[in-house]
Amino acid sequence: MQRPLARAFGSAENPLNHLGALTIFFCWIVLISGIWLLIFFRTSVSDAFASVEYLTHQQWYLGGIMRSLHRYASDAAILTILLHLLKEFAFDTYRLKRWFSWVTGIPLVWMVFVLGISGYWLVWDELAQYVAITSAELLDSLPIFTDSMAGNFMTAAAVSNRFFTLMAFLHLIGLPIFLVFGIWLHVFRLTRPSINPPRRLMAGTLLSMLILSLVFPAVSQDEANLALAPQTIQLDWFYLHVYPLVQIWSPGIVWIVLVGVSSLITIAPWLPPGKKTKAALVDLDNCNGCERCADDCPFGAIEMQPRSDGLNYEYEAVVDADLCTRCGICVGSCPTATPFRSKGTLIPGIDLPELPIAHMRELIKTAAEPLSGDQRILTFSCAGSTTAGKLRKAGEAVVTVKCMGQIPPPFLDYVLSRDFADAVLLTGCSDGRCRYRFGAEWSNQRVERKRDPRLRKRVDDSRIARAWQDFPQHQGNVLKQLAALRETLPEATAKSEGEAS
Amino acid sequence: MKYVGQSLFYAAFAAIVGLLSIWPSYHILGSQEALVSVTFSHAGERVGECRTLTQEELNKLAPNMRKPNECPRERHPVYIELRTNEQLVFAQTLAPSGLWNDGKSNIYQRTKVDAGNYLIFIGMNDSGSKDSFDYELSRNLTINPGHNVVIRFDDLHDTFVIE
Repeated sequence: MQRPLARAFGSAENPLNHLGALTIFFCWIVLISGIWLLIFFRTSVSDAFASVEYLTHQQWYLGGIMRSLHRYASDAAILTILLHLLKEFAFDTYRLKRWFSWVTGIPLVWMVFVLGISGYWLVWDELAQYVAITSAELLDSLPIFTDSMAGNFMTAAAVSNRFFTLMAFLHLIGLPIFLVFGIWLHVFRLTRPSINPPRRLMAGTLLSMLILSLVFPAVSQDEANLALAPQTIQLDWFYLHVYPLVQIWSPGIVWIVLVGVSSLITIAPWLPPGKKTKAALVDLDNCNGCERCADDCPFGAIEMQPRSDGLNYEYEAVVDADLCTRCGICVGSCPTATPFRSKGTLIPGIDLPELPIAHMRELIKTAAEPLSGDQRILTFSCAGSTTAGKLRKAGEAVVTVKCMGQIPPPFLDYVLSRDFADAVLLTGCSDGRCRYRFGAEWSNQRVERKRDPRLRKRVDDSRIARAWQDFPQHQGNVLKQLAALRETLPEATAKSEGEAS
Repeated sequence: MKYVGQSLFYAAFAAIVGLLSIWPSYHILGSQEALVSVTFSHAGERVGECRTLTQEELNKLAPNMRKPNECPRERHPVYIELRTNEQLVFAQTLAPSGLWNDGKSNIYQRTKVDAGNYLIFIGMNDSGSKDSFDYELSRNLTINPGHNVVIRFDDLHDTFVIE
């Protein structure tokens, strides 16, 4: 799905890169439409159905549309949640230090389901009757209630307005409060969490939901009648797909399956246990407390604390190893991470033990060694890019780093000014697809001199190309950029020679 | 071309949302089927007789604990049997609820039946006796398709009620 959507929307607006934010956007639609419905809704057994019918038919131009939007946005949220979960799983961005968002997402899914299911009760039509009885059967199978809850839905006299008010309270106030708290917890460990999708994407999805609401308005089924047993109902499969299983299997087995699947998904980040690597390391002798690493860390793993070593700086960076994803973006942001330093061992203020910059400098030298001629290009590729292997096979010089954000701009200067290559190509996962969230974005901004540490002015921009992969198979873009860069090279070389003379 | 792709995505997205929100329909009952639901809570008899305490025994108790009778907490399980046209539909022995087996026994049983005329028989035994039913009810009923016939026990009048 990545490929066609990336082509239609581009990476920045690709819906698959904003699934979490889209879900929150749908929640906003549900909230706003729900407030309108609440104004006219009557929380009693005798009046609930009639009030929804009034909204649907008499006030179709607003209340009816709001009802449809309420329903369809709720359904769409389930779809985006499912895709969000599948995407994080497929791209392996739920393991190791990312477990927190994954694990806190599971209760959120449960909450959204309970919220949606409780909403169906309030309409009090045949579907509500079915949902109420089946939900009660599910709850009865738990050793919580002494009396049968489902028995309360066998005769009209047994259903009270008070019970209906309780359900309305749960749906309108109780559960939404927990949901908001759950969303906050879900993104708690992320810096700059993507809460809102791009405006055009919001407009597009809202418009599509509006058109759906107009063409195909949500309507009630026949009014609930407990003396009758509904024979055929139009089930909302997004929320109620489990309910038929209660009849086919039994409530107990359904609980076992639900709890089992949820537990399995919850422990997935540790199945199997991930390889333990060392978190980013701060070297106080080289750390000047500039705060850039703390600003750039996508997971809030770096905190600036008062200086502990007596040096004349206000702060020092402290890495929380439990939060560090070992992406190296902090290294890319460190002003002391410069390969030009020749005295002593090359140690920056913060470094990644897995791939220290001293080793990165050696990798550059080794990769560039076989290059010859006037069109020598050195490619930096992130570990998530699928192009690196292909380029190597084609004889290109490639240095693979964990994330493109790991490359400090002085390294690009180093490659060009020390004549290791005539040009540099940066290739990796595009913005939105980056495993470490901001690799492409920070890298772009540093090269464009919009973010510290900026690329030095003396570096010729035309000799640095960037090719981001919108989807794993998106290798054509990289090869195209490489060819385009190569074409510009003789001219660029001539220019620099002219400047030198 | 880009906008065509986007329009196709939005259309497909809306179509999936609209479609799965009501389709396919779910058939709970066949067109000629109905339900017979037996649902109620009923406490079985106590397993032992209550005993009247002597004045001497009462005097030994704190003033606020002086109840004249001492009864065992445990109750008998409740046995229920449902028959339609003399065919056994189900027979269940329901344990009392509560940690001390002193609560009510609960039943919630829904059975699909074909619409038609039935002789409904329900019997309940709550005293531990196995020879006869303590309570029973037989009634001829015409059950229409889609109807939910509810059988409950009225504790106030100690009788079964069919609604």
